[in-house]
Amino acid sequence: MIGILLGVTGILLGTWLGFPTLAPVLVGLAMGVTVPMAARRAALAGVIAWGGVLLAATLRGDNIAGVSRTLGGAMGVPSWLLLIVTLLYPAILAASAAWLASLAARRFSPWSGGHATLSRGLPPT
Amino acid sequence: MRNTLLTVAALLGLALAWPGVRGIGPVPPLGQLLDPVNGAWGAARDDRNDRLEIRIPSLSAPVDVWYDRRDVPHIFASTEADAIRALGWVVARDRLFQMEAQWRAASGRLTEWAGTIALPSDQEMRRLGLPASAEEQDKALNTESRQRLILDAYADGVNAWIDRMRPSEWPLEYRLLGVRPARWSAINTMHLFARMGWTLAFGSSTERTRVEVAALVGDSAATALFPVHTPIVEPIQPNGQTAPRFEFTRLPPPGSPNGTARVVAGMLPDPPADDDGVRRSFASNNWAVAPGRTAAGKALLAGDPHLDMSLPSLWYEVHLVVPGVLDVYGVTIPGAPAVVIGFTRNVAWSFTNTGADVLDLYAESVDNDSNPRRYLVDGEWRELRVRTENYLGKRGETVGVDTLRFTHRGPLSRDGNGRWLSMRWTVLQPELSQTVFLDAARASNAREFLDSMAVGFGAPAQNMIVADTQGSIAIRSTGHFPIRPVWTVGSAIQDGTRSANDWEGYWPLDRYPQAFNPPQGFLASANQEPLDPKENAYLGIDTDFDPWRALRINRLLRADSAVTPETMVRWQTDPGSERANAFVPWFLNAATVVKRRGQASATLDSAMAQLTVWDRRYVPDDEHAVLFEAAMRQVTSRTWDELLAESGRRVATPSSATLLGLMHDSASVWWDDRRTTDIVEDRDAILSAALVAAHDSLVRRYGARSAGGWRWGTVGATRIMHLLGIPAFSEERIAVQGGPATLNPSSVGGHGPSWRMVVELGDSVRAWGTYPGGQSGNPASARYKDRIPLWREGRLDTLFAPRDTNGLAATLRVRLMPPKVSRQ
Repeated sequence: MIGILLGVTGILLGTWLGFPTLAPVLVGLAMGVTVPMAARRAALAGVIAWGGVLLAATLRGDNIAGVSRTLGGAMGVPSWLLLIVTLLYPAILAASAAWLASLAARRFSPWSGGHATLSRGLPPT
Repeated sequence: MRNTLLTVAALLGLALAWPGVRGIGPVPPLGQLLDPVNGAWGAARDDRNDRLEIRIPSLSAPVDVWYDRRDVPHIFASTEADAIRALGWVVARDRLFQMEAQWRAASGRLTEWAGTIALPSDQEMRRLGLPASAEEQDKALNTESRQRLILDAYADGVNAWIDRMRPSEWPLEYRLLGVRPARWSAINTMHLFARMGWTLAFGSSTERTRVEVAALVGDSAATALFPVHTPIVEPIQPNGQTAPRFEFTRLPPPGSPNGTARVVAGMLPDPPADDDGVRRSFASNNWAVAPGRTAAGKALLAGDPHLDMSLPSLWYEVHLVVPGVLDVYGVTIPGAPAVVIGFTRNVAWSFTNTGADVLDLYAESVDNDSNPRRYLVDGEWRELRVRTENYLGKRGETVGVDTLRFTHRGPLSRDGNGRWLSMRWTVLQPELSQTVFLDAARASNAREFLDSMAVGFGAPAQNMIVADTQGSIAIRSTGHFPIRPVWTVGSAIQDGTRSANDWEGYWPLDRYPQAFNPPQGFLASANQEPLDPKENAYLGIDTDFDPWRALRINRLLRADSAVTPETMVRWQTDPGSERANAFVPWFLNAATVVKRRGQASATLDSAMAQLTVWDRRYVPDDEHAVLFEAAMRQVTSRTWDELLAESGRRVATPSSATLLGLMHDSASVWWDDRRTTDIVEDRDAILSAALVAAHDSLVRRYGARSAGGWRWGTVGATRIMHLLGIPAFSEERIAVQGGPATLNPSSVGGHGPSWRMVVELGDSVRAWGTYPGGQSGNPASARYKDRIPLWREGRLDTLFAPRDTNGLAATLRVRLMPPKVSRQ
């Protein structure tokens, strides 16, 4: 849970700083070497981060539905698809990065179990 | 195996980062687009129910900007420069993308947004010399001048918004194009006005028309088909007539093709796509009524410039108040530091396009056909001014290079035949004062207004109508009208090797078409010929002057001696057509004659019956106008077959006034359709055949009339497209009241009344107006096109112009502040 929260925070911070693509990738990489089931959790962090911003905007009264309709129309896609893609974008980037990072961690780590071993609280062998 | 698949998927997923950062082809960088914090979703934000305090670096004192319920900003400043800074700020806040799109289009720099796809458009602008002209004007402007002060103040305001703007506030279009907003420079305003000149006064068709037609039917017929003066006389400058005058002359038969003209014709640009001799674009109306003919005894003024209708709208509504200096309400063009059309406490004004021939072409002799450096004038070689144009792509790479050459007349261009033409054009003469609108807005009466405009307004020539609170009405066609040597004709290509063929100057002010408080008690302009042909002045040729709307307005004005503002509003969308009134009887007569000849048919009977019952009004529910319009196209096509080039394209179309004149000569050889070799048609044969063909074509296209497909509101529906042509950002299928050559000709698509305004000038000034769009440039905003329903219905909003903030129910209050003074 803490890993996801940190992931959400990292993605939000990076996005706010103007790195909407780099932030999910870096967060995913970090989660990949430190968090178990990193890919799923990183994906969840991505969805929560960007979805949360959109939800907050909607609650504030911003016309998210209108933009979705307008922008979707301009791009020739249904408005709901644009929303889905917005949620999937950081999720896919973060999950992909996390998966690759966890693989690399297992392969190149001096500890045979990688973060899975760490997560069980066992000493590295 | 599972791990391998997941790894491959992860690699593919990570590859998403590439389009996320760089974009692919037309797809913008996805990350920046979808970013919910700084990306396109920011367009959903609405911060209008708020109070804001903003600092603008160059401001000298606080400025209050209060937005009313129609989203019109009322700017209260203590100096004119501060008011203009605030104007730049408010317009940028709502229309930044439009401003940049327009200056880029005008300066030939669209390739920096769109790459090579925009190269032809950019090349056209640059090869016409428009950006070069703006640059010269910019350089020539004294740094201490008032013009420079105003232009810089405007740029300060625009840039203050740009600098403060968060990425989430970037207009959506920037996201879609994957580009960043550029800062504003004073020269952008000059580009904008140059572009306006191109839109309204690029009249190379005059020369093209004459030459191409002469190539086919000889000089004499070309001159008769495209006369200098319109045969339907109802000029802007009243001539004492109480009814229009018709001066039709018999057309000479087609003559032998002119071989020289045939060669020259090949080097001229393609003609516009009009197909029935009715001008479809840039038609405008304005009229004014003196107190003696209004119900309330107060002067009335109406104006509706017809231009390209776009989203965001060409216009932005605003009110500027500088106590004791300026109090002006109306519409500005985003990028222009002034209210262009509007009213003050003393005067109201509007414009229509004069359509004068202010462009001449000269055939030049050059020293080297493939790479000319000099051109011949009076037996001596003169150096060409050479300018290299670089076109840059999205990432700063060069996507094209042009070498432009200029004679003392203007830009030099060439066609495949090796002939070189230079162009002299008033729009390229940098003689438009950027403060002319601000200066004129200080006028206390109609004459002062027009005199002020005449000082600083050179091009594009406009029919400026004005009314004042003292009861005066006036009109003047203002702009530079060339004085040509008596032996030259403005509609022909001149010999460039003789300096004697050059313009000798511009008309003096007293020669301008104009009228002040005429005895008839009203004035009207609708792009008709400004002067009575008896004045023997050359301003252009017949096809550039459309008589029909002027006939209609004058008919309405003559018939009403107690005009009210409500009447004026109603007239702006009057569905009646003088063109239909003129032509329908000829169709009906022809059908009768042909039936008498024993050539009746059920289709002809049906078509005739429909035209007989038609009230000649273009209302959305009407089902007959479509038949008349189709029949007019058929007549045009069948009558002017002599003007078809070998390609099958009609090189030019005589005006509908010329066609009406031909109606009086039933046996003219022009009626014969040469493509039907077995018979020789006369007028009535052509008209009835056109009617039948029109009816058949409509049935094929829309089904039987009873099926409901002939509704004018459907067939004649208009559309208002977004600047980038994005359908989702546009409004299509708008059923309007009005048709070709009516006072509201917007049904022909894309063009129409871009701003409608009615003003009553008495002890107080009352005004009404609207435009087809909305104040916001954000396609996701509720204010983006909220005015279209009102505009479509022909209704106007009341315009509220308070002297101060008292009584102004603001929906948003912005205080623009000068920078904080740092304590030492």
